[in-house]
Amino acid sequence: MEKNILIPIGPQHPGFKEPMRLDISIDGEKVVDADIILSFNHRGIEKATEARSYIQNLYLIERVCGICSHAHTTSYCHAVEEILGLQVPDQARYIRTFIGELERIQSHLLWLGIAGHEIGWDTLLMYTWRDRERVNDMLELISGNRVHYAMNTIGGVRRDIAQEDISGLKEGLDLLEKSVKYYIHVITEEETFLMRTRGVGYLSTDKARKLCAVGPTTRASNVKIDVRADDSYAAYLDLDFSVVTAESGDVWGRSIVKTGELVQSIRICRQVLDVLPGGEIRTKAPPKVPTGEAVSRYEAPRGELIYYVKSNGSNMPERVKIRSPTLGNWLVMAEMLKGVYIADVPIVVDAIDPCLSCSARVTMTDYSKGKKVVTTLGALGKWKKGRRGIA
Amino acid sequence: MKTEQVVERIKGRLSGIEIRIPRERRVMVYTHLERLIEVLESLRDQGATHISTITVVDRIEENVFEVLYHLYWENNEITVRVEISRENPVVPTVTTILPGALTYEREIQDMFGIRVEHIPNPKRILLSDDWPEGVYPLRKDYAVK
Repeated sequence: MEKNILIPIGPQHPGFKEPMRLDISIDGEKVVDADIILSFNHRGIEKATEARSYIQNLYLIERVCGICSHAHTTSYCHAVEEILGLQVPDQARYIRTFIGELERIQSHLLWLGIAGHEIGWDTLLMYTWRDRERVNDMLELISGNRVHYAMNTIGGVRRDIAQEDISGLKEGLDLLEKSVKYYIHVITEEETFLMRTRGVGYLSTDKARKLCAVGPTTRASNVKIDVRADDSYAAYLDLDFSVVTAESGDVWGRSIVKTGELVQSIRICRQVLDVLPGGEIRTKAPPKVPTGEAVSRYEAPRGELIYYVKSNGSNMPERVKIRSPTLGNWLVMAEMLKGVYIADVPIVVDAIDPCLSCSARVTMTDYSKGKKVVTTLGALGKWKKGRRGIA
Repeated sequence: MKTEQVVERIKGRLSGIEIRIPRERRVMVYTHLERLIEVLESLRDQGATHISTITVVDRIEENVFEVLYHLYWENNEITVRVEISRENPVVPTVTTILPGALTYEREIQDMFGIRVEHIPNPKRILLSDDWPEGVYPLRKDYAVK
Protein backbone atom coordinates (compact mmCIF):
# COMPACT_ATOMS: atom_id res chain seq x y z
CA MET A 1 0.00 0.00 0.00
CA GLU A 2 2.95 2.34 0.57
CA LYS A 3 3.56 2.55 -3.13
CA ASN A 4 0.03 3.74 -3.85
CA ILE A 5 -0.29 7.37 -4.81
CA LEU A 6 -3.12 9.43 -3.42
CA ILE A 7 -4.81 11.89 -5.78
CA PRO A 8 -7.14 14.37 -4.14
CA ILE A 9 -9.72 15.81 -6.54
CA GLY A 10 -11.53 18.90 -5.28
CA PRO A 11 -12.86 20.23 -2.93
CA GLN A 12 -13.34 23.43 -4.88
CA HIS A 13 -14.14 21.79 -8.11
CA PRO A 14 -16.25 23.80 -10.54
CA GLY A 15 -17.70 20.62 -11.89
CA PHE A 16 -19.18 19.26 -8.71
CA LYS A 17 -22.61 20.46 -7.82
CA GLU A 18 -21.58 20.37 -4.23
CA PRO A 19 -17.97 21.00 -3.29
CA MET A 20 -16.54 17.64 -2.44
CA ARG A 21 -13.19 15.97 -2.34
CA LEU A 22 -12.45 12.67 -3.87
CA ASP A 23 -9.29 11.00 -2.63
CA ILE A 24 -8.31 8.27 -5.00
CA SER A 25 -5.45 5.89 -4.27
CA ILE A 26 -3.82 4.63 -7.41
CA ASP A 27 -1.52 1.80 -8.22
CA GLY A 28 0.03 2.56 -11.58
CA GLU A 29 -2.85 3.54 -13.82
CA LYS A 30 -5.58 1.93 -11.76
CA VAL A 31 -7.66 3.19 -8.90
CA VAL A 32 -7.45 0.86 -5.93
CA ASP A 33 -9.51 2.81 -3.45
CA ALA A 34 -11.61 5.91 -3.27
CA ASP A 35 -12.74 8.04 -0.37
CA ILE A 36 -15.28 10.78 -0.64
CA ILE A 37 -15.32 13.81 1.65
CA LEU A 38 -18.42 15.96 1.43
CA SER A 39 -17.78 18.32 4.31
CA PHE A 40 -17.25 21.58 2.45
CA ASN A 41 -20.54 23.18 1.81
CA HIS A 42 -23.01 22.32 4.46
CA ARG A 43 -25.57 25.06 4.02
CA GLY A 44 -27.74 24.19 6.99
CA ILE A 45 -30.97 24.12 5.01
CA GLU A 46 -32.56 21.51 7.29
CA LYS A 47 -31.89 23.73 10.30
CA ALA A 48 -33.06 26.83 8.43
CA THR A 49 -36.42 25.24 7.64
CA GLU A 50 -37.18 25.07 11.38
CA ALA A 51 -37.08 28.87 11.59
CA ARG A 52 -39.28 29.60 8.56
CA SER A 53 -42.94 29.24 7.78
CA TYR A 54 -44.18 26.43 5.55
CA ILE A 55 -44.63 28.81 2.62
CA GLN A 56 -41.22 30.44 3.07
CA ASN A 57 -39.69 26.99 3.17
CA LEU A 58 -41.00 26.27 -0.31
CA TYR A 59 -38.64 28.87 -1.74
CA LEU A 60 -35.76 27.74 0.43
CA ILE A 61 -36.24 24.10 -0.47
CA GLU A 62 -36.49 24.90 -4.15
CA ARG A 63 -32.90 26.05 -3.83
CA VAL A 64 -31.58 22.76 -2.46
CA CYS A 65 -30.83 21.80 -6.05
CA GLY A 66 -30.55 23.87 -9.19
CA ILE A 67 -31.37 21.00 -11.49
CA CYS A 68 -34.13 19.12 -9.75
CA SER A 69 -35.71 22.04 -7.88
CA HIS A 70 -39.22 20.86 -8.71
CA ALA A 71 -38.50 17.41 -7.26
CA HIS A 72 -37.66 18.92 -3.88
CA THR A 73 -40.68 21.20 -3.64
CA THR A 74 -43.07 18.50 -4.85
CA SER A 75 -41.76 16.06 -2.29
CA TYR A 76 -42.01 18.67 0.47
CA CYS A 77 -45.53 19.68 -0.59
CA HIS A 78 -46.66 16.05 -0.63
CA ALA A 79 -45.46 15.62 2.94
CA VAL A 80 -47.10 18.81 4.22
CA GLU A 81 -50.33 18.07 2.32
CA GLU A 82 -50.41 14.61 3.87
CA ILE A 83 -50.21 16.08 7.36
CA LEU A 84 -52.89 18.64 6.51
CA GLY A 85 -55.06 16.00 4.87
CA LEU A 86 -55.40 18.23 1.82
CA GLN A 87 -56.79 16.87 -1.40
CA VAL A 88 -54.82 18.31 -4.31
CA PRO A 89 -56.94 19.06 -7.42
CA ASP A 90 -56.44 16.73 -10.39
CA GLN A 91 -55.23 19.53 -12.62
CA ALA A 92 -52.45 20.30 -10.13
CA ARG A 93 -51.43 16.64 -9.91
CA TYR A 94 -51.07 16.49 -13.67
CA ILE A 95 -49.18 19.78 -13.89
CA ARG A 96 -46.79 18.62 -11.17
CA THR A 97 -46.18 15.44 -13.14
CA PHE A 98 -45.64 17.35 -16.36
CA ILE A 99 -43.10 19.77 -14.86
CA GLY A 100 -41.41 16.86 -13.07
CA GLU A 101 -40.97 14.99 -16.34
CA LEU A 102 -39.73 18.05 -18.24
CA GLU A 103 -37.25 18.49 -15.42
CA ARG A 104 -36.14 14.89 -15.81
CA ILE A 105 -35.67 15.43 -19.55
CA GLN A 106 -33.49 18.50 -19.08
CA SER A 107 -31.52 16.80 -16.31
CA HIS A 108 -30.84 13.66 -18.35
CA LEU A 109 -29.93 15.71 -21.44
CA LEU A 110 -27.56 17.76 -19.31
CA TRP A 111 -26.03 14.55 -18.04
CA LEU A 112 -25.66 13.03 -21.50
CA GLY A 113 -23.84 16.14 -22.70
CA ILE A 114 -21.46 16.09 -19.77
CA ALA A 115 -20.88 12.37 -20.23
CA GLY A 116 -19.93 13.12 -23.83
CA HIS A 117 -17.65 15.89 -22.69
CA GLU A 118 -15.93 13.68 -20.13
CA ILE A 119 -14.94 11.21 -22.78
CA GLY A 120 -13.65 14.01 -24.98
CA TRP A 121 -16.62 14.18 -27.28
CA ASP A 122 -17.86 17.75 -27.09
CA THR A 123 -20.08 17.45 -30.15
CA LEU A 124 -22.51 15.43 -28.06
CA LEU A 125 -22.44 18.15 -25.40
CA MET A 126 -23.33 20.81 -27.98
CA TYR A 127 -26.17 18.74 -29.38
CA THR A 128 -27.76 17.71 -26.10
CA TRP A 129 -27.44 21.14 -24.53
CA ARG A 130 -29.08 22.67 -27.58
CA ASP A 131 -32.02 20.35 -26.97
CA ARG A 132 -31.95 21.11 -23.29
CA GLU A 133 -32.53 24.75 -24.22
CA ARG A 134 -35.77 23.68 -25.83
CA VAL A 135 -36.89 22.08 -22.58
CA ASN A 136 -35.90 25.18 -20.64
CA ASP A 137 -37.93 27.26 -23.09
CA MET A 138 -40.92 25.00 -22.51
CA LEU A 139 -40.52 25.34 -18.75
CA GLU A 140 -40.24 29.10 -19.16
CA LEU A 141 -43.41 29.14 -21.23
CA ILE A 142 -45.35 27.48 -18.41
CA SER A 143 -43.74 28.90 -15.30
CA GLY A 144 -41.91 32.02 -16.41
CA ASN A 145 -38.66 30.59 -15.10
CA ARG A 146 -35.97 28.37 -16.53
CA VAL A 147 -34.38 26.89 -13.40
CA HIS A 148 -36.37 27.52 -10.24
CA TYR A 149 -39.86 27.17 -11.65
CA ALA A 150 -41.65 28.06 -8.40
CA MET A 151 -44.63 26.07 -9.63
CA ASN A 152 -45.52 24.33 -6.41
CA THR A 153 -47.41 25.63 -3.48
CA ILE A 154 -48.94 23.75 -0.59
CA GLY A 155 -52.24 22.44 -1.91
CA GLY A 156 -51.47 22.58 -5.61
CA VAL A 157 -49.58 24.62 -8.18
CA ARG A 158 -49.29 28.36 -8.77
CA ARG A 159 -49.79 28.48 -12.53
CA ASP A 160 -51.98 26.64 -14.96
CA ILE A 161 -50.96 25.35 -18.38
CA ALA A 162 -52.74 27.63 -20.84
CA GLN A 163 -54.75 25.94 -23.59
CA GLU A 164 -53.04 28.01 -26.29
CA ASP A 165 -49.61 26.78 -25.14
CA ILE A 166 -50.43 23.09 -25.51
CA SER A 167 -49.77 22.87 -29.25
CA GLY A 168 -46.39 24.58 -28.79
CA LEU A 169 -45.48 22.18 -26.01
CA LYS A 170 -46.45 19.22 -28.17
CA GLU A 171 -44.26 20.52 -31.00
CA GLY A 172 -41.42 20.83 -28.54
CA LEU A 173 -41.93 17.23 -27.44
CA ASP A 174 -41.92 16.06 -31.09
CA LEU A 175 -38.59 17.78 -31.70
CA LEU A 176 -37.16 16.30 -28.52
CA GLU A 177 -38.31 12.82 -29.42
CA LYS A 178 -36.55 13.06 -32.77
CA SER A 179 -33.32 14.11 -31.09
CA VAL A 180 -33.59 11.49 -28.36
CA LYS A 181 -34.01 8.73 -30.95
CA TYR A 182 -30.85 9.97 -32.59
CA TYR A 183 -28.96 9.94 -29.28
CA ILE A 184 -30.07 6.40 -28.60
CA HIS A 185 -28.78 5.43 -32.02
CA VAL A 186 -25.50 7.23 -31.29
CA ILE A 187 -24.82 5.70 -27.89
CA THR A 188 -25.63 2.19 -29.04
CA GLU A 189 -23.69 2.36 -32.32
CA GLU A 190 -20.89 4.88 -31.97
CA GLU A 191 -17.63 3.03 -31.46
CA THR A 192 -15.94 5.84 -29.49
CA PHE A 193 -18.73 5.95 -26.98
CA LEU A 194 -18.88 2.19 -26.61
CA MET A 195 -15.13 1.90 -26.11
CA ARG A 196 -15.07 4.50 -23.38
CA THR A 197 -18.14 3.33 -21.48
CA ARG A 198 -18.55 -0.42 -21.79
CA GLY A 199 -17.24 -2.33 -18.82
CA VAL A 200 -16.20 0.95 -17.15
CA GLY A 201 -17.30 1.63 -13.56
CA TYR A 202 -18.93 -1.74 -13.09
CA LEU A 203 -21.49 -2.17 -10.33
CA SER A 204 -22.98 -5.62 -9.77
CA THR A 205 -26.67 -6.13 -9.03
CA ASP A 206 -25.74 -7.54 -5.65
CA LYS A 207 -23.61 -4.51 -4.68
CA ALA A 208 -26.24 -2.10 -5.96
CA ARG A 209 -28.83 -3.71 -3.70
CA LYS A 210 -26.52 -4.09 -0.74
CA LEU A 211 -25.21 -0.52 -0.78
CA CYS A 212 -28.70 0.85 -1.44
CA ALA A 213 -28.00 2.67 -4.69
CA VAL A 214 -30.87 4.67 -6.14
CA GLY A 215 -32.23 5.86 -9.46
CA PRO A 216 -30.72 5.23 -12.89
CA THR A 217 -27.50 4.03 -11.22
CA THR A 218 -29.22 1.07 -9.60
CA ARG A 219 -31.57 0.45 -12.54
CA ALA A 220 -28.53 0.12 -14.81
CA SER A 221 -27.42 -2.73 -12.53
CA ASN A 222 -30.73 -4.45 -13.18
CA VAL A 223 -32.46 -3.51 -9.94
CA LYS A 224 -35.98 -2.54 -10.87
CA ILE A 225 -36.90 0.17 -8.39
CA ASP A 226 -38.58 3.40 -9.38
CA VAL A 227 -40.65 5.41 -6.90
CA ARG A 228 -42.98 6.54 -9.69
CA ALA A 229 -44.06 2.95 -10.23
CA ASP A 230 -43.58 1.44 -6.76
CA ASP A 231 -44.85 4.22 -4.52
CA SER A 232 -46.87 6.22 -6.98
CA TYR A 233 -47.54 9.91 -6.37
CA ALA A 234 -48.97 12.89 -8.29
CA ALA A 235 -50.63 11.50 -11.45
CA TYR A 236 -48.34 8.57 -12.22
CA LEU A 237 -50.93 5.98 -11.27
CA ASP A 238 -53.15 7.18 -14.12
CA LEU A 239 -50.37 7.26 -16.71
CA ASP A 240 -48.74 4.59 -18.78
CA PHE A 241 -44.96 4.25 -18.69
CA SER A 242 -42.36 1.58 -18.13
CA VAL A 243 -39.37 1.37 -15.81
CA VAL A 244 -36.18 1.19 -17.86
CA THR A 245 -33.44 -1.13 -16.67
CA ALA A 246 -30.17 -2.41 -18.10
CA GLU A 247 -28.12 -5.46 -17.26
CA SER A 248 -24.58 -4.34 -17.99
CA GLY A 249 -24.07 -2.37 -14.74
CA ASP A 250 -21.46 -0.09 -16.35
CA VAL A 251 -21.40 3.51 -17.54
CA TRP A 252 -22.86 2.38 -20.85
CA GLY A 253 -25.78 0.75 -19.04
CA ARG A 254 -26.40 3.98 -17.15
CA SER A 255 -26.48 5.84 -20.47
CA ILE A 256 -28.95 3.35 -21.88
CA VAL A 257 -31.18 3.72 -18.84
CA LYS A 258 -31.10 7.51 -18.93
CA THR A 259 -31.80 7.77 -22.65
CA GLY A 260 -34.55 5.15 -22.27
CA GLU A 261 -36.04 7.29 -19.53
CA LEU A 262 -36.02 10.28 -21.86
CA VAL A 263 -38.33 8.35 -24.18
CA GLN A 264 -40.58 7.41 -21.27
CA SER A 265 -40.66 10.98 -19.97
CA ILE A 266 -41.71 12.30 -23.38
CA ARG A 267 -44.39 9.62 -23.44
CA ILE A 268 -45.67 10.71 -20.01
CA CYS A 269 -45.64 14.40 -21.01
CA ARG A 270 -47.72 13.67 -24.12
CA GLN A 271 -50.26 11.71 -22.09
CA VAL A 272 -50.53 14.55 -19.57
CA LEU A 273 -51.17 17.12 -22.31
CA ASP A 274 -53.84 14.87 -23.82
CA VAL A 275 -55.74 14.23 -20.62
CA LEU A 276 -55.30 17.48 -18.66
CA PRO A 277 -58.55 17.52 -16.70
CA GLY A 278 -58.78 21.30 -16.20
CA GLY A 279 -60.43 23.01 -13.26
CA GLU A 280 -58.96 24.28 -10.03
CA ILE A 281 -55.20 24.28 -9.64
CA ARG A 282 -54.94 24.64 -5.87
CA THR A 283 -56.74 23.95 -2.64
CA LYS A 284 -56.30 26.67 -0.09
CA ALA A 285 -54.01 25.59 2.73
CA PRO A 286 -54.09 27.04 6.25
CA PRO A 287 -50.84 28.69 7.40
CA LYS A 288 -50.70 26.55 10.55
CA VAL A 289 -50.20 22.82 10.25
CA PRO A 290 -51.59 20.52 12.97
CA THR A 291 -49.25 18.18 14.83
CA GLY A 292 -48.28 15.24 12.70
CA GLU A 293 -45.63 13.73 10.50
CA ALA A 294 -45.23 12.34 6.99
CA VAL A 295 -42.66 10.57 4.91
CA SER A 296 -42.70 11.48 1.25
CA ARG A 297 -40.78 9.74 -1.51
CA TYR A 298 -40.20 11.07 -5.01
CA GLU A 299 -38.31 9.80 -8.03
CA ALA A 300 -36.00 12.71 -8.82
CA PRO A 301 -33.92 12.54 -12.03
CA ARG A 302 -31.06 11.02 -10.00
CA GLY A 303 -33.21 8.63 -8.00
CA GLU A 304 -35.17 8.30 -4.82
CA LEU A 305 -35.60 11.56 -2.94
CA ILE A 306 -37.01 11.28 0.55
CA TYR A 307 -38.51 13.93 2.82
CA TYR A 308 -39.59 13.52 6.41
CA VAL A 309 -41.64 16.40 7.77
CA LYS A 310 -42.78 16.69 11.39
CA SER A 311 -45.10 19.48 12.42
CA ASN A 312 -45.84 20.88 15.86
CA GLY A 313 -49.09 22.78 15.34
CA SER A 314 -47.42 26.11 14.56
CA ASN A 315 -46.75 27.70 11.17
CA MET A 316 -43.17 26.42 11.19
CA PRO A 317 -42.11 22.79 10.91
CA GLU A 318 -40.53 20.98 13.85
CA ARG A 319 -38.20 19.02 11.60
CA VAL A 320 -37.60 18.65 7.88
CA LYS A 321 -35.28 15.87 6.87
CA ILE A 322 -34.03 15.76 3.29
CA ARG A 323 -32.13 12.89 1.72
CA SER A 324 -31.18 13.75 -1.82
CA PRO A 325 -30.52 10.91 -4.26
CA THR A 326 -26.86 11.78 -4.77
CA LEU A 327 -26.13 11.09 -1.09
CA GLY A 328 -27.62 7.64 -1.56
CA ASN A 329 -25.18 6.96 -4.35
CA TRP A 330 -21.89 7.95 -2.68
CA LEU A 331 -21.20 4.49 -1.32
CA VAL A 332 -21.60 2.82 -4.68
CA MET A 333 -19.53 5.49 -6.38
CA ALA A 334 -16.52 4.51 -4.29
CA GLU A 335 -17.25 0.92 -5.28
CA MET A 336 -17.50 1.74 -9.00
CA LEU A 337 -14.21 3.63 -8.97
CA LYS A 338 -12.23 0.63 -7.78
CA GLY A 339 -10.28 -0.85 -10.65
CA VAL A 340 -10.88 1.86 -13.24
CA TYR A 341 -8.16 3.80 -15.07
CA ILE A 342 -7.37 7.30 -13.84
CA ALA A 343 -8.66 8.82 -17.07
CA ASP A 344 -11.97 7.03 -16.56
CA VAL A 345 -12.47 8.60 -13.13
CA PRO A 346 -14.33 11.64 -14.55
CA ILE A 347 -16.81 9.54 -16.51
CA VAL A 348 -17.39 7.11 -13.64
CA VAL A 349 -17.95 9.92 -11.15
CA ASP A 350 -20.16 11.61 -13.67
CA ALA A 351 -22.17 8.46 -14.30
CA ILE A 352 -24.02 8.87 -11.01
CA ASP A 353 -24.63 12.42 -12.22
CA PRO A 354 -22.89 14.73 -9.80
CA CYS A 355 -21.62 16.51 -12.88
CA LEU A 356 -17.91 17.04 -13.40
CA SER A 357 -17.14 19.89 -15.74
CA CYS A 358 -14.34 20.79 -18.09
CA SER A 359 -12.54 23.39 -16.03
CA ALA A 360 -11.83 20.86 -13.32
CA ARG A 361 -8.55 21.05 -11.48
CA VAL A 362 -6.77 18.10 -10.01
CA THR A 363 -3.92 18.17 -7.54
CA MET A 364 -1.70 15.16 -7.83
CA THR A 365 0.49 14.20 -4.94
CA ASP A 366 3.44 12.02 -5.71
CA TYR A 367 4.11 10.49 -2.33
CA SER A 368 7.51 9.12 -3.22
CA LYS A 369 8.76 12.63 -4.08
CA GLY A 370 6.44 14.49 -1.71
CA LYS A 371 5.58 16.88 -4.52
CA LYS A 372 2.25 18.39 -5.49
CA VAL A 373 1.41 19.04 -9.12
CA VAL A 374 -1.72 20.89 -10.20
CA THR A 375 -3.19 19.85 -13.50
CA THR A 376 -6.56 19.83 -15.24
CA LEU A 377 -8.75 16.78 -15.59
CA GLY A 378 -8.60 17.22 -19.37
CA ALA A 379 -4.81 17.08 -19.30
CA LEU A 380 -5.03 14.02 -17.07
CA GLY A 381 -7.18 12.29 -19.64
CA LYS A 382 -4.76 13.11 -22.45
CA TRP A 383 -1.83 12.00 -20.34
CA LYS A 384 -3.29 8.56 -19.95
CA LYS A 385 -4.45 8.27 -23.54
CA GLY A 386 -0.95 9.15 -24.71
CA ARG A 387 0.51 6.46 -22.51
CA ARG A 388 -1.90 3.89 -23.85
CA GLY A 389 -1.08 4.97 -27.39
CA ILE A 390 -4.66 5.99 -28.24
CA ALA A 391 -4.16 9.73 -28.68
CA MET B 1 -47.22 -6.27 -1.63
CA LYS B 2 -50.20 -4.82 0.18
CA THR B 3 -49.45 -2.87 3.33
CA GLU B 4 -51.58 -5.22 5.46
CA GLN B 5 -49.60 -8.21 4.20
CA VAL B 6 -46.36 -6.46 5.08
CA VAL B 7 -47.63 -5.80 8.58
CA GLU B 8 -48.74 -9.41 8.97
CA ARG B 9 -45.33 -10.64 7.88
CA ILE B 10 -43.56 -8.33 10.30
CA LYS B 11 -45.84 -9.41 13.15
CA GLY B 12 -45.41 -13.07 12.21
CA ARG B 13 -41.71 -12.91 12.95
CA LEU B 14 -41.65 -10.42 15.80
CA SER B 15 -43.82 -10.48 18.86
CA GLY B 16 -44.75 -7.50 21.00
CA ILE B 17 -43.98 -4.89 18.35
CA GLU B 18 -46.19 -1.85 18.01
CA ILE B 19 -47.07 -1.11 14.40
CA ARG B 20 -49.06 1.79 13.00
CA ILE B 21 -50.15 2.41 9.44
CA PRO B 22 -50.49 6.16 8.85
CA ARG B 23 -51.58 5.56 5.26
CA GLU B 24 -51.33 3.07 2.41
CA ARG B 25 -47.68 2.07 1.74
CA ARG B 26 -46.41 3.61 4.99
CA VAL B 27 -45.65 1.47 8.04
CA MET B 28 -44.34 2.72 11.38
CA VAL B 29 -42.65 0.14 13.57
CA TYR B 30 -42.08 1.24 17.17
CA THR B 31 -39.42 -0.63 19.07
CA HIS B 32 -36.77 -0.25 21.76
CA LEU B 33 -33.05 0.15 21.39
CA GLU B 34 -32.42 -3.37 22.75
CA ARG B 35 -34.55 -4.88 20.01
CA LEU B 36 -33.40 -2.63 17.13
CA ILE B 37 -30.89 -5.09 15.70
CA GLU B 38 -33.34 -7.99 16.04
CA VAL B 39 -36.08 -6.04 14.23
CA LEU B 40 -33.81 -4.87 11.41
CA GLU B 41 -32.35 -8.36 11.00
CA SER B 42 -35.80 -9.84 10.75
CA LEU B 43 -36.84 -7.26 8.16
CA ARG B 44 -33.61 -7.75 6.22
CA ASP B 45 -34.09 -11.52 6.16
CA GLN B 46 -37.54 -11.04 4.69
CA GLY B 47 -36.20 -8.76 1.96
CA ALA B 48 -36.08 -5.19 3.30
CA THR B 49 -32.47 -4.60 2.23
CA HIS B 50 -32.82 -0.98 1.12
CA ILE B 51 -32.29 1.75 3.68
CA SER B 52 -33.30 5.17 2.39
CA THR B 53 -31.98 7.26 5.22
CA ILE B 54 -31.90 7.75 8.99
CA THR B 55 -33.79 10.67 10.49
CA VAL B 56 -33.28 11.98 13.99
CA VAL B 57 -35.87 14.11 15.75
CA ASP B 58 -34.72 16.04 18.79
CA ARG B 59 -37.53 15.98 21.36
CA ILE B 60 -35.76 18.21 23.81
CA GLU B 61 -38.68 18.65 26.26
CA GLU B 62 -38.86 14.91 26.79
CA ASN B 63 -35.07 14.64 26.80
CA VAL B 64 -35.01 12.06 24.00
CA PHE B 65 -33.77 11.67 20.49
CA GLU B 66 -36.03 9.68 18.27
CA VAL B 67 -34.10 7.77 15.60
CA LEU B 68 -36.02 6.70 12.51
CA TYR B 69 -34.64 4.12 10.11
CA HIS B 70 -36.44 4.48 6.79
CA LEU B 71 -36.45 1.18 4.94
CA TYR B 72 -38.01 0.29 1.66
CA TRP B 73 -39.58 -3.09 1.16
CA GLU B 74 -41.90 -4.30 -1.60
CA ASN B 75 -43.45 -0.93 -2.45
CA ASN B 76 -43.79 0.00 1.21
CA GLU B 77 -41.85 2.50 3.25
CA ILE B 78 -41.14 0.97 6.64
CA THR B 79 -39.94 3.29 9.37
CA VAL B 80 -38.36 1.58 12.36
CA ARG B 81 -38.29 4.01 15.26
CA VAL B 82 -36.42 3.94 18.54
CA GLU B 83 -36.07 6.48 21.32
CA ILE B 84 -32.73 7.07 22.96
CA SER B 85 -31.66 9.16 25.90
CA ARG B 86 -30.44 12.65 25.10
CA GLU B 87 -27.91 12.47 27.95
CA ASN B 88 -25.96 9.58 26.53
CA PRO B 89 -27.01 9.17 22.92
CA VAL B 90 -25.66 5.88 21.62
CA VAL B 91 -27.00 3.55 18.95
CA PRO B 92 -25.39 0.38 17.61
CA THR B 93 -24.22 0.41 14.02
CA VAL B 94 -26.67 -1.20 11.63
CA THR B 95 -24.11 -1.46 8.81
CA THR B 96 -23.62 -5.13 9.69
CA ILE B 97 -27.22 -5.66 8.59
CA LEU B 98 -27.62 -2.89 6.04
CA PRO B 99 -24.22 -1.80 4.65
CA GLY B 100 -25.87 1.13 2.87
CA ALA B 101 -26.55 2.81 6.21
CA LEU B 102 -22.95 3.98 6.62
CA THR B 103 -23.43 7.42 5.04
CA TYR B 104 -26.45 8.13 7.20
CA GLU B 105 -24.83 6.92 10.40
CA ARG B 106 -21.93 9.27 9.76
CA GLU B 107 -24.47 12.02 9.13
CA ILE B 108 -26.28 11.55 12.47
CA GLN B 109 -22.94 11.51 14.28
CA ASP B 110 -22.12 14.90 12.74
CA MET B 111 -25.47 16.54 13.11
CA PHE B 112 -26.76 15.23 16.43
CA GLY B 113 -23.69 13.89 18.18
CA ILE B 114 -25.24 10.47 18.44
CA ARG B 115 -22.43 7.97 18.92
CA VAL B 116 -22.72 5.02 16.60
CA GLU B 117 -20.98 2.06 18.19
CA HIS B 118 -18.61 0.03 15.99
CA ILE B 119 -19.21 2.20 12.93
CA PRO B 120 -16.76 1.09 10.22
CA ASN B 121 -15.81 4.65 9.21
CA PRO B 122 -16.41 7.28 11.90
CA LYS B 123 -14.98 10.24 9.97
CA ARG B 124 -16.96 13.41 9.47
CA ILE B 125 -19.06 13.48 6.37
CA LEU B 126 -21.09 16.67 6.15
CA LEU B 127 -19.61 19.18 8.58
CA SER B 128 -16.39 20.93 7.69
CA ASP B 129 -13.02 20.08 9.22
CA ASP B 130 -12.91 23.34 11.18
CA TRP B 131 -16.34 22.88 12.73
CA PRO B 132 -15.82 22.87 16.52
CA GLU B 133 -15.89 19.56 18.33
CA GLY B 134 -18.96 18.83 20.40
CA VAL B 135 -21.24 21.27 18.60
CA TYR B 136 -24.15 19.59 16.90
CA PRO B 137 -26.11 21.96 14.65
CA LEU B 138 -29.35 20.06 14.24
CA ARG B 139 -29.96 19.73 17.96
CA LYS B 140 -32.75 21.98 19.16
CA ASP B 141 -30.51 23.70 21.69
CA TYR B 142 -28.23 24.91 18.92
CA ALA B 143 -29.57 28.38 18.17
CA VAL B 144 -29.48 29.80 14.68
CA LYS B 145 -27.69 33.13 14.78
